[in-house]
Amino acid sequence: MNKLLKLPFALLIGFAVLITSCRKDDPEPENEEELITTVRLTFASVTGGSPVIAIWRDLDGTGGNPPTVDPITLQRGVTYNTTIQVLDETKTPAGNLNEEIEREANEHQFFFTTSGLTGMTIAYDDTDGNNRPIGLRNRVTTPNNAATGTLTVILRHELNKTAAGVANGDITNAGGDTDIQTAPPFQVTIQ
Amino acid sequence: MRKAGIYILILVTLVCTLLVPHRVLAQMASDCHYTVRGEIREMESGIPVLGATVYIRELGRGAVADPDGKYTIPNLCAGDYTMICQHLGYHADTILIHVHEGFIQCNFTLAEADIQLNAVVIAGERALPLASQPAAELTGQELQNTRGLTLGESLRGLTGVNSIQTGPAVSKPVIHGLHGNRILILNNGIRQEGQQWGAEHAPEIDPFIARRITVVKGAAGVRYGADAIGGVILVEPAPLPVHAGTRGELNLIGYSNGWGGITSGQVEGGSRRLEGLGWRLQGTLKRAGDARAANYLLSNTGVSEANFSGGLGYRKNKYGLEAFISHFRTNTGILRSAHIGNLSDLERALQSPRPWYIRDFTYQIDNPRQAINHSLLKISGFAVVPALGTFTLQYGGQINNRQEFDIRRGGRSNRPALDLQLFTHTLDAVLEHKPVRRFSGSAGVNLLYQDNNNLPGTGVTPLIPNYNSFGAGAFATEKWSTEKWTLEGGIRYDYRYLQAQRFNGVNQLVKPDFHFRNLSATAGAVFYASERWNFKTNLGTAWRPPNVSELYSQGLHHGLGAIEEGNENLQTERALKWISTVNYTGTRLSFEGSLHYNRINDYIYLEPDAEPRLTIRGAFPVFRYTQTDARLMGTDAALAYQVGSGLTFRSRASLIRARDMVRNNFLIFIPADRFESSLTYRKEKPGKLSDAFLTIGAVNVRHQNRTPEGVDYANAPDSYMLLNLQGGITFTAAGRPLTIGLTVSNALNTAYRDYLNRLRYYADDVGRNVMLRLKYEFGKIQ
Repeated sequence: MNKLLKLPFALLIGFAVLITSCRKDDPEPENEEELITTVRLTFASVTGGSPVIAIWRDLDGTGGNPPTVDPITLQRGVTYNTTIQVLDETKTPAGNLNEEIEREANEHQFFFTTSGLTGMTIAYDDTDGNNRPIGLRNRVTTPNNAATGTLTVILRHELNKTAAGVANGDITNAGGDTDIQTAPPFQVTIQ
Repeated sequence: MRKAGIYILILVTLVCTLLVPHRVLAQMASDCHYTVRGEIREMESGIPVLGATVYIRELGRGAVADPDGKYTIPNLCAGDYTMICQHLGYHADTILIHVHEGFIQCNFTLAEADIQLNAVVIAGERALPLASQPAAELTGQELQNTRGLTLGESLRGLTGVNSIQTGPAVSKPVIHGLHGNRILILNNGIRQEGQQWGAEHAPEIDPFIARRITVVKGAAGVRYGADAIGGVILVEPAPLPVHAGTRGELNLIGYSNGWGGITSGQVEGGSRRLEGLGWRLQGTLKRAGDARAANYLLSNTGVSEANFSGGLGYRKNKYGLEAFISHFRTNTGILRSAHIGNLSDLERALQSPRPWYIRDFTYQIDNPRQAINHSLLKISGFAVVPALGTFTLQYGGQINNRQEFDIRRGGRSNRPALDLQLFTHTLDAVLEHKPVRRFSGSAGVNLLYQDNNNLPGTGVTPLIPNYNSFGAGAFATEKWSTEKWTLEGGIRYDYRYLQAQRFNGVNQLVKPDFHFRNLSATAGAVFYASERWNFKTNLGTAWRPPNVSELYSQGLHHGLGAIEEGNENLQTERALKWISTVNYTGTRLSFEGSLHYNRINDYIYLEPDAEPRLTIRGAFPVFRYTQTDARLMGTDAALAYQVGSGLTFRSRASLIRARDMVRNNFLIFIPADRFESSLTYRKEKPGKLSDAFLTIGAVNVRHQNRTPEGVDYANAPDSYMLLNLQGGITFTAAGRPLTIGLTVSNALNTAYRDYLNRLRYYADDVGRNVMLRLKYEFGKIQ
């Protein structure tokens, strides 16, 4: 073989040795920190009694298993102090995302959309540092007649909290990214 | 991985056996029927230089230019020659040529001696991939007119080339409807390896490095290996200086849309003591704020970029060695309004005439954004082995780090949501054998090793898994040339190994591996019917293994509010592309037209599921990677007509038709029909001011009505027409040229959306942009 070709061939073989001797450490699974699996609603009647609890849960995140949704049964003509708990139940103990939402209250707000529940009102009962609503605590007042319908809970992040109607719970101009949208919605029965 | 070593040894043996016959053949006598011809023009004015002489140093014979500045040297044997052109009152110009084809065109531009300008030594014939595949080039003034644009945008003016945009700063080139992993980019001879699979992942290349950008529009699998299905883009710097002296240039660019500024400079030189030793340093800084559509600001579309490169080489006629390093760093904002939570957010964006998030103009780049670092080290050498030919060896090492920052909760926004590091090593050994009779050709091996890692700590399940990949290929191409004909063919074998390291549904580590093998071939012909007409045709195959994102991506794609699922049963994608070109060069009219047909078997694409998936963030459409057979065909045409003295009319058209042959449907994301016309007035020689020109042009992009039903979120946007203006002039003071250029793109500030802009769901495309360029050249090289 020509002398001039010896160096290239030495390099070729060197390259082969280099890459075959590469060893790689096994990766560790990444800890999914911002997963939300669960929305837990607690309806505590202002007149006392045991609260009504409803859970919307999807443990596999964007995976293919459908979520499970508890039905909600409320009494007519009652005001409920309603709290929302946002959880990551893939962790033990379950991650409580309420803390993050409260810490960044200026960037978060819940919205509620209902269908078929004429006369039911949902009023914000908490405020952020700028005196604008968050929606982790609310007052839900049921109508004086029986009804059935649905309730969807939406959480927006980095929204425009000053836009028209947003402070009153109108989502139309809110913008931002949706962090939670309970689809399918909760089935609500007012009896 | 031990297996890989064995494969390399087999390949080394294979290439050894390939080389032997050439060595034997090389000792036979060569034919002497080649012709070199060309034009000699003045550098400043472009007027022909009557009476200049051209001679071949090795043969001691030559020719004299006629009144049109044209010369012809017939009856040359195949081989490498030094051509020297000189004339009284001008600096001599030297060009190295490699004669192995029927006609060689070799043009000289002479600089007047009294203005102390330097002619650049240009390598005459470059080893273009294949003579029968059409190639479009951006060089000289045309390249200068694109300075300041991204690589993808720069190429949009070439026929058959488009770009996929993700806002104003992220642009991926598209050749004949194909992009990403279906085209190949060679940056200074090294295949660019980043995370090409993402449509919002632009090539990590500073276009200021290039002195020439070439787009090869055929399937070039034989010469370059995997991925060259649609074509190849070659980004080439000028050769390093070999003569003593120092020179440089400084580019200053400012533009109104985004109030951006670019500074790019380079200095190069050659050693006085050691003839052949040359160096170059080059760097670019770029900063721009929020771009503006016709009627509103595109908030968070700023960009900040800092790039540098350096080269050092020693080059003699018979051997040379060169090292090149480059570093590319960018921080690019992505339109804030394009970051969405779920499908209802997207629908909301589609219904709104304006993006929901518009802030005051700022240079600040917030999340979502991309921070990318790309480093390249290239070491290459060549040696002319008299009995064999020219042997070239090059090593390329690349580190690509891609960080994507998202809008996150809990103070995590300063932690990347995606943090990928990709190491790529390539080694290419090519022997271009000494021409034997009418034959010339080359053979070689290409090796590739990749290691891709998700850097831990993102707090987000990785979109693609870690992997290691090894590739090896061996090829041979051969060309037979006469005065009228060039026939060529080539063959290649590739092997690719891929091992992924991923976590299954229950967080157990699994390491699936894949072996891909492919045989590629190409054949083509060029017929030089006359000095004015030539015809080219090429049939080539190319392939690509499915990439790891197609095999294993799993999860939510934030930019599009869609869940994408990989498919580990995907097979190799194989393409057969035929392209034929006719070329006419007359005194006033020149024309190039081509037809292309690309059949891609097992074309990988995303197929939508019928039902959206319900998650806690709402409903999302689900797309799964699957395969079909696809057909893309079309035509490119370009003509230039000299209307009168200094006035030239140009027109270009690119049309593509693409179909899914199995489902009998259209393919998504295929460029719409595009037509361009322009009128240029060029003043030949206005004294101390030179190269003055003014161009008015219009681009018309039709509505894409050939889209698959029910796959896209919105209909393709309407047709649009943009008016562009461009002008330039060069002032020369004390022998130092200062070139000023002005471009007004979208001069009428038209509000429009382009089908290939991924942000068209959210906002209009960019509005009027006035760009001013200054280029100052200094120093000299002998």
